[in-house]
Amino acid sequence: MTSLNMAGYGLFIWPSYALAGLFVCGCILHSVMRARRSTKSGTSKDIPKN
Amino acid sequence: MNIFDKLANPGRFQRITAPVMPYCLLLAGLSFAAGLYYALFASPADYQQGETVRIMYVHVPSAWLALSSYLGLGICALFFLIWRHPLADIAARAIAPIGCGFAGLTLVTGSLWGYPTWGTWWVWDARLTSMLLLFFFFVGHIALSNGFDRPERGARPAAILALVGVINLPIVKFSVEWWNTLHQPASIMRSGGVSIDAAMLTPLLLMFAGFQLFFIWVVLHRMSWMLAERRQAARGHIS
Repeated sequence: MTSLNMAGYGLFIWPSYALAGLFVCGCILHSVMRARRSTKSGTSKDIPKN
Repeated sequence: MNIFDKLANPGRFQRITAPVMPYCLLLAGLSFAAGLYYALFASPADYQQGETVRIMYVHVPSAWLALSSYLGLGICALFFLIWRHPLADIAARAIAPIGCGFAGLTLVTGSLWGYPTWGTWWVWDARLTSMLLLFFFFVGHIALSNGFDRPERGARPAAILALVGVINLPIVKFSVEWWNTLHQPASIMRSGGVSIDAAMLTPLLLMFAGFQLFFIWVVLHRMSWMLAERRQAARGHIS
């Protein structure tokens, strides 16, 4: 089991995971919001809901 | 009618892919949860690199996804240039920003891994430089495909650029074998078999599965709203 400090390397490790998390969440959020915008414009039956 | 002709119909494509998408997202979430647990807590530190090896569980899957998404972009470009099918252009537009993000993530996490292990954030070594070039090819594709008033006009130059960039893929992959690089040689996809212990290979493959499933979901989802927007634009154009 590792500590949050990661033997002094947490400064390098945590930002890597944070960036990956931000990228994944950002992509999902952007795509969902863009799909909603398209839905509001009257093409709801074309876009799967998930 | 072959499988490509069947899938190339946008309506049929959406009917086939829509039921798959929620499962992709669910499985991606499960893979990430298990992968993160193993990567951050259950896997051991490396005997040489210590705790910094944990960056590998983000860096390596990102690099694989960047390379495979560019290969996907190249295939879409080929389909678009030969058969002129709009679905290939839409797929390319859906893939490019995600692949670009993965290439950027690879470069940044590589830099974060490089400083504590090599003592430098960046070197102009063959692997790092060819990966940076891959990132620029993605950026170029995005810029070209969106740089015209009508999106259809940017599709052809973007597809040509994507095909030119495919030459860079074997350079990225084999750069560590062809040249003397600071970057370590391949540890998994190599002729002598996998050289990583199962305790480290498990989180690596779980994180890769998570990223791969997320990639499939986000590309299919982007394609669905892009198709909807094109239909909407076509209706507006007709009326």
